Amino acid sequence: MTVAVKLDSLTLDARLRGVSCDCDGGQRVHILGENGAGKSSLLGVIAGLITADNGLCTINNSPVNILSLPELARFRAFHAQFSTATFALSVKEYLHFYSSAGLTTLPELLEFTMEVGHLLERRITTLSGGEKQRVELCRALMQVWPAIECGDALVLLDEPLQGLDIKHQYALMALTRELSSKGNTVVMTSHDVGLSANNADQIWLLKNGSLVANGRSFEVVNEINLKVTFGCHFAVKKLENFLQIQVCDPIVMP
Amino acid sequence: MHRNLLAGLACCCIIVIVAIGAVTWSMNAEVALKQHIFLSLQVPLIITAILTGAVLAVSAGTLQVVLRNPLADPGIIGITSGASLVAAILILTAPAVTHAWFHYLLPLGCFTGAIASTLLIYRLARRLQQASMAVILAGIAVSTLSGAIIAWLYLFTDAQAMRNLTFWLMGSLYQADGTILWVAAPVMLISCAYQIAQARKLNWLYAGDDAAAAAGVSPQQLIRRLLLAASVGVGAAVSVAGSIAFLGLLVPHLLRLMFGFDNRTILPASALTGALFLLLVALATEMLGTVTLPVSMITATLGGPLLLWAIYKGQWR
Repeated sequence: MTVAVKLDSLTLDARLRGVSCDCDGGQRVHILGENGAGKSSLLGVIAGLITADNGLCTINNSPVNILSLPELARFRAFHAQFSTATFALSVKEYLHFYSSAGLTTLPELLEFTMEVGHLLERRITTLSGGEKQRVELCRALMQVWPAIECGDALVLLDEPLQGLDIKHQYALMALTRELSSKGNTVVMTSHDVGLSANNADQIWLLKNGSLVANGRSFEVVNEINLKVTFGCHFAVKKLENFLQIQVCDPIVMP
Repeated sequence: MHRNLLAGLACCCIIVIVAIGAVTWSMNAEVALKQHIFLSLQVPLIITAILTGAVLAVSAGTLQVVLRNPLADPGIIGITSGASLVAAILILTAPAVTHAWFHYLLPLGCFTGAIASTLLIYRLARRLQQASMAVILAGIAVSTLSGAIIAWLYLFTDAQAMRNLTFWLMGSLYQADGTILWVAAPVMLISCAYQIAQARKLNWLYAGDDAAAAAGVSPQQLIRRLLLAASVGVGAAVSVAGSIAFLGLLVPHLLRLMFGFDNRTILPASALTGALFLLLVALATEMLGTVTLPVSMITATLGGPLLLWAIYKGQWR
């Protein structure tokens, strides 16, 4: 069964202020906004790792806070913005520890897109930032791989593009497209407006904890919404099946 | 899991236990006397060595992952000092009226000291966002303070009490009073078993709290329970064998270097290696016959070079 997410008037101290939106199962949702807009907090609430002060977050009509952590861990993957791996364990061990199915080899789809096969014998502490990010993405996904293969997973990725080179940014977009085509729901935060606009089914724009706009990317990503969200001018050009986005004079020096 | 490794270590432990027994049974003495020596001296010695070595090594392995600091060792981060401080206060100042309950008072005091210092260090570390060095610094502060209080106590005690305490603080496998051992042994056993049972969840802490929670375990709850289990176990170990340095730091490091980071292997292997290490110390002492070797002296003498080797290998791999 695909995973639908619904948020109803979510409030979390000063971080989220009455956020209401939803997405159907099998969709790719990108959350965009300034630093400190509440993107990671929103993802944390959906993941069941942060409890909202008010409002309701439901996953397939069940409030997320009544699901236990082991129940959530069966179908919900969560990639945190920062990892704190301090021990020099090998990448192979690292991935194996978090694989719910006890996988010792990488699933083909992950190896094809994230290309971490050649890193398996390396120690995690010796990887570059981008390599580590790819390993972390594989770790998060391998935790729910059986659910992903059935199309029953909810994949939450907090700034997964951070540190990735351009090739792997597009590879990640291809991976999320493949995951959602199987029925999995993908919700991720991002700072790359152009990449998100052209690779998301839905965009949620956040500003100071409030939702500026949400909906299909071609409808939501426009100059007015982006100006309100980011406080700088954008030029948005709609081409056939493609949005060309440029930032115009973002900063005026004093 | 490296089943062969665990089986090999268990076999080594059995061989050393047999060798310790053989020291007595090869003596020229009456069978009844040999039996008496074996049952009343060597059996408690063997149990003390096995449980103390196991719980110190397992607790260190756990603490290193929980506190995300490879330097975490009950001795270095101040848990042993907290337990030793309470034990020293009891040994030096307990009034005669309490001597009848000393068997229970000493382990209880050591648990309390160990748990108090663990909580203090844990709270300090969390307040400083678990900065890796904060744990070590907090531990050094607790150890220094405990050492200072023990030094003050020395000033007000007689020479014999001072000598007893000095020897006790250096650790000895022979000082376990039978009753103290029977109180502390189940505690050490349960502490070890609990920590080993949590090994899979402990693996999930390698990527941090968020990853552990995402994998299905509450990291705060897990960390609190494991810290409690480790500090109670270490408190019990201190109550039976005094302060034993270095074992905890050395054993998990060596094992991780050789067999990787899977706690399902490392924790049971640490228990067996820690037990083996102290059984060898017990065997050496039994063979020397005339001198009772302070355990910390041996563990530090052997442990220093071994740890230097481990660090050297670790840096070059």
